[in-house]
Amino acid sequence: MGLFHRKNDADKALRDRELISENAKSVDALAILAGQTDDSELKDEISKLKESLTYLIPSEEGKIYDYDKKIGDRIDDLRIAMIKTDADAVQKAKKLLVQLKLLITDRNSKI
Amino acid sequence: MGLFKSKYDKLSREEVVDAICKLEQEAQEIEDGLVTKQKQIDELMEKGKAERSKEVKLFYAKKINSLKADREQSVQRAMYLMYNIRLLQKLKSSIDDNQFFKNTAKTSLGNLLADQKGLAKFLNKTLGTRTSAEDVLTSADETFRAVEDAYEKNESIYGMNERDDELLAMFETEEQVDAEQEMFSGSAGKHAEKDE
Repeated sequence: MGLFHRKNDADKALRDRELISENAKSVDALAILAGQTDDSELKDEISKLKESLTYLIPSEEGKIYDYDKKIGDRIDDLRIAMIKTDADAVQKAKKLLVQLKLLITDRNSKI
Repeated sequence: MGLFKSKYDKLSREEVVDAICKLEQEAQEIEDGLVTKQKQIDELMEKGKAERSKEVKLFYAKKINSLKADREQSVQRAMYLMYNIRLLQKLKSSIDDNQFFKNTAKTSLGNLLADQKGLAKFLNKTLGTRTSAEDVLTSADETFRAVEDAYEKNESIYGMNERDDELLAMFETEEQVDAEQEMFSGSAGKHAEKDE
């Protein structure tokens, strides 16, 4: 094998599967943060999010991997927003949640 | 770009996010602490006002001043943390920008536009297609005109013969007479009106 190894389809699918798993685990932190707020709607949305992220279909396509990376970035932004518990922070978190759900829907439509 | 990556090239978004989360958590704890301290100060102030003993008043006063000093320190720390968080947010935005431009350039349309020669070739081809289509229409139009110009009117059908000419002369005469009669009757009517 040469110095540079080109990823085959199986490697790409595995890479995507790992990223999906990482994103699903990140939502656990969000669930804990949501528990600190009084907003039951937010708590419900986060628990649904965990489910939809866990069962994403991995793909060897580069653009799907890019989507999963964006989903991961949005989860991180949500984590930052949910550290604060005031009303403005909760509103911001809800907006980010909508963006995240849109990303997941777009991603699934491309498969 | 050099062979070795700088610290910023190796920096991942996740690391920056973790750092921001940690600082935000600390800032939130300080903020909660400030609220608690303020409540304590307010309570002690009330107690101090209500207290009669001078020693106890002094005790409350010292405690309040100590809490105020702590509060001041916490405020300074919170301001420092806020500033730090702001810079890290900027760093996170830069990482996002970098990724955004990389991804946008990677898309197939971005690649197509980068090929200037290919683009010029395609545009010239499109122009050629358009010009050919227009030429087809203008040629057709010229053909129409050429055929129409070549046509000669059939004088036997559409032209004037002797008998037609005689009739036309008669029509013109009739028209003249009618016109004169109208003029005459019109002026006679006006005179009749004047007399009345």
